[in-house]
Amino acid sequence: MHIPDSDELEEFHEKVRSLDSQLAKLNSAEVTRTEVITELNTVSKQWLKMSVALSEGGVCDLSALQKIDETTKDILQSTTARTRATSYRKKLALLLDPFTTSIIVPVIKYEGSPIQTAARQIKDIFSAHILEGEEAYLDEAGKCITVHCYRAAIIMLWTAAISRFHRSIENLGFSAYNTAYATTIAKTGNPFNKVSKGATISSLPELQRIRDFDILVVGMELWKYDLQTYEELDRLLGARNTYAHPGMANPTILDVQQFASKIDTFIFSKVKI
Amino acid sequence: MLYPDAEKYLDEILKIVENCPENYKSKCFEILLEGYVTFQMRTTMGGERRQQVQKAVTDEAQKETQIPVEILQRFKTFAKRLEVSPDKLELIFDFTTDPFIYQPFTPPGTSAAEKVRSIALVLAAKTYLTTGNWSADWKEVKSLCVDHSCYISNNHLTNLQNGKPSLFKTVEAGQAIALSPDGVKQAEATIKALAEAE
Repeated sequence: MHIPDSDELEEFHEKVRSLDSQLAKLNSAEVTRTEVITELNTVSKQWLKMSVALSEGGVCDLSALQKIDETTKDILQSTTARTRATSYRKKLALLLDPFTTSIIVPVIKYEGSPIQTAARQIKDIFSAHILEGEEAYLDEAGKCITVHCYRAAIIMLWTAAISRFHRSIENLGFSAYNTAYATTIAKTGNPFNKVSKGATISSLPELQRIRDFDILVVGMELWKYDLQTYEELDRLLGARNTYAHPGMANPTILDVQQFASKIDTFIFSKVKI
Repeated sequence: MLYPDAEKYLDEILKIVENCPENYKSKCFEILLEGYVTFQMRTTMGGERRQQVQKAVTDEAQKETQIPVEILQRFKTFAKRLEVSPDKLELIFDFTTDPFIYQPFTPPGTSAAEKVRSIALVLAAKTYLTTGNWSADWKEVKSLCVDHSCYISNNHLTNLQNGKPSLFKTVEAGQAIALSPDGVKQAEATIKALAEAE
């Protein structure tokens, strides 16, 4: 569920203020203008949607959310009856000044916390090279970071990288991969002699069964990167494997950031689709 | 020296080779010599020795400082450029948290607008230390401005945009705030002042 950010909440708050100004002009008269009633209806529904997300996100105080929920439900009901402007304004008061301290400020503090910032910075690293479909993995990596699950974040970043390799192979064609594979296994010495034998492919499921290591080695033929780039990629795969298994390795946010930066430099900027 | 005592070891190798049957002498010499060279490479310039040296350097660095090894080099270079001792510079950060943060500080400036811009510069310096980019996260700036009571929602964007183009390359709502070359200079000066105040 999408948790509204502070910019959206401020926009909502501004809408409520403007509505309150319009109601103030009516003094104690009954509100009959359709556009005002529609706006009151829209604002109430908008809040109730945002409230569910905020409550699930655990960002704001639940009792504050409940109070506003009750008030907006009340406003919503009032739109179907004859209601004076003063009555609406009384109810809207909770969505004016107290709204900033009880809702907007906690959201600003939450989204501006160092860990949330770090998660966004990871996504920013890829902003120049990321393609549709790969974002889901990066989003998941970001979510892992926000709950300090750095091992899981590294695994998701590697998944994004492998997704790029797979998509590129699909675009180049399986025969192009098989040709590069044949050239690779004809070579002697490390790492060529470690590539799995008889691993030609003709479909996506077969590609999905190919070891990541094999793709990295065959990649030297396919995407024309050199041995040093391969070695860097192999180290990244090693790191991914390290963090995917039980042990004492305990990555920090800086490890995740460096991993992300290298994935971008050596894979996303080199392997085009 | 890459091959210390090479003559001595070569003599020893030749003595061993002498005892081999004629057909195997050449191969035996090759194997022994390769073994000697590999051993020397590992002990003098690479492999175990290098790892030992690296570990010693890292341990030494960890003893003196809380700065994560991943950013230590950039941090020292930064301190050198600012002409501030790394120890003093370290004091303005709290490296015991992950990710690291600033220790409480007072943003320079007399008006809310100046404070907002100072906060953006200071946070961009933290991003620089972490990723190498001189940019500040929009939401992090906002949050710190709330802490320092200089966040005015209606004027926040304008307050930042008034620093453009002299301080910032780009200022758009919700987007990272990238520093201009002058902004980088100003950020460095601000960090220097904060460190020297410690």
